[in-house]
Amino acid sequence: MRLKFLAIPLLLGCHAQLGTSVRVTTPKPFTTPQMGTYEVRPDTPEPELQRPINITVLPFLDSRRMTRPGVDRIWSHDAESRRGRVVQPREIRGIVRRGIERGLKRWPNARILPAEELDLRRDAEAILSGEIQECRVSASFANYRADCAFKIHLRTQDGRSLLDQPILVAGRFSKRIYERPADWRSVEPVPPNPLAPAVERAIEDALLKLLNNESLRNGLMEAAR
Amino acid sequence: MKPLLILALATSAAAADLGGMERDYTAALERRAELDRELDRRLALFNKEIAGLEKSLDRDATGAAKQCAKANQQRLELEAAAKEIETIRADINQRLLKIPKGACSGYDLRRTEALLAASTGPAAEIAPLLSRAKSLARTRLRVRADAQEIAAPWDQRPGRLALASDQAESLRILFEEARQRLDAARVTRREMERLSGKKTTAPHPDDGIDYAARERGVIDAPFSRLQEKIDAMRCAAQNAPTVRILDASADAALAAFSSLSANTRRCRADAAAALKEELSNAVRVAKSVHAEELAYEQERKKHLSRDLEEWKRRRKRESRRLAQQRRFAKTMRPPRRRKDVKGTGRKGPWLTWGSQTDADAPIRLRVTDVDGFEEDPAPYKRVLRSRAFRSLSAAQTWICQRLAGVRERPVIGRSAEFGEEVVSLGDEIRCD
Repeated sequence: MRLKFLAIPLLLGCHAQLGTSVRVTTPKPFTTPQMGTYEVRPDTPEPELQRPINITVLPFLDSRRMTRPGVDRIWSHDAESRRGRVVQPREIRGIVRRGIERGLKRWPNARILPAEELDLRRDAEAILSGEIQECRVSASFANYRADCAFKIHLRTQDGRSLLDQPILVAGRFSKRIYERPADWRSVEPVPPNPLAPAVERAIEDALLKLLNNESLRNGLMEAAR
Repeated sequence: MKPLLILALATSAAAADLGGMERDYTAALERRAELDRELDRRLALFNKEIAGLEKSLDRDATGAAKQCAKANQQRLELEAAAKEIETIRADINQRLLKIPKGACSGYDLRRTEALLAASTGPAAEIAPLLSRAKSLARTRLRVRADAQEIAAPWDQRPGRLALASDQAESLRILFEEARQRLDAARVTRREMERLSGKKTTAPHPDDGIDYAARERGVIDAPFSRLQEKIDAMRCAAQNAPTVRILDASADAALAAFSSLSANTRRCRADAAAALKEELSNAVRVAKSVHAEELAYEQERKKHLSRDLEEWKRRRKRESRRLAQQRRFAKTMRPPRRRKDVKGTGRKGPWLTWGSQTDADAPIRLRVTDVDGFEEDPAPYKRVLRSRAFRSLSAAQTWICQRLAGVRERPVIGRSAEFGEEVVSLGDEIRCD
């Protein structure tokens, strides 16, 4: 039994790369237990709200045009298609919402009220909604690249906007897969697993910009006044 | 005879006329001197009357001018108030244009409420402004009426100027007479000169007097001066906004403001309705998002292992294909030249060990026994041929037979392309 405990990490550690001439470096593997569980930590300090307020984050509208329903519907296990290696993953609304909620939760005096309860309680001072304008991931021979852009609205419960205009944020993540391939003929097909993390990182980037956004902060401070 | 008679008669008649004329002329000059004196006397009376009139007119004009100035001041204030109301109305109308005609979004509502808040203060100012302006307008009318009341007796004709006007009339008649007399005297003297052959001794009429100019200076000027003063007293009507205009302007401003607040109410309703609809959808959408994620998670789990297997397979297949390509590229070269004969070690990796690359070796041997190889390379070469085996033991048997004479032990099997067929990867074959 004890031997097994020793052997398994040894075997895992010693597992060598198969006989390829180039080393493949990928983003974090596709092993997130639940997607969108990352923490969004803005670089600027959280604003001081005057009083505790309830914030509700509504699920975003998805205004992307679906071009290839088969590939765009779910995280594609293989990004290759006849039109190139581009997919628009659909299942990111939960990731976006959880990311915003996790980021806002860190603010002092901000409480998150689930959208499902809002209908019954009706005591949210700020309602954050938005739409996904773009979120796509592409995989080329050399890198992954994910681009996501959101439009954010912040309103009071009677529908009055807390912003002068919608906030537009765009996030991007790109990662080189191969380190200086000596021979381009030896490049192998792109492993599918890192596509989802690449999208997640792009969303994270966009949400970081959102939580750092000055007008969002001003809007929430106005709601707390 | 007859012309002589006529000449004698004419000469005697002329002599008789000249004498009469001279007498008449002298009498006329005297009468004119009397007329001048009379004129002076009446003029003195007239001037006295005018001076009296001017004195009392000045007294009245001071009071009227005070009232007039007050009315003017009030007119200016009134105009300012009307302008202010008009500005408020124009501002609110301008803001009204910025409100969207269609359904309002949350952003429109925010803008509209800001516009309403900016208009509320000015709109509240309208009523006090209007009442102040109206009372001003009324006071102004009264003050102006007072001024006109003071001026009224002076406006009547003949009224207070009756005596002065009569005097002026008689003076004008006298001046006229004096002018005529002067003209007659001049004509008479010229006639006398003609008759006497320029030898008359009669005195000249006083040509230096210009009665017309004198009349203008003495009568017309004081009258026009008086008239000017009376006109000034009358406080000439100047256009100021009336109560009716003020009322209309204020009504328009208040109507614009109420339209603004009605639009704000409409916007509030629109925005609230939009949010309510979104909220009613939110639960459903949240559920569908959750279901989507669950479905994805299941799909992911299902595909994960399969994907990994497929990925390994594809990767292997790909590397094999590339190795084949590489080998093919090496064999498809021009025939060797004479100096590159077999066995020199410069060509032919399938024959010599020296320049063999990793990828080309079916089995990679680490040769340390160089002497043994130089003595007999045949067993090594035999190993290099590819061959499939059923099992590891079969491979071991085969390789160990071939390498029976080779002193080096052990032999490590590594293969890029036929690895699996010779031995499993990373396995070690020991030939005892």
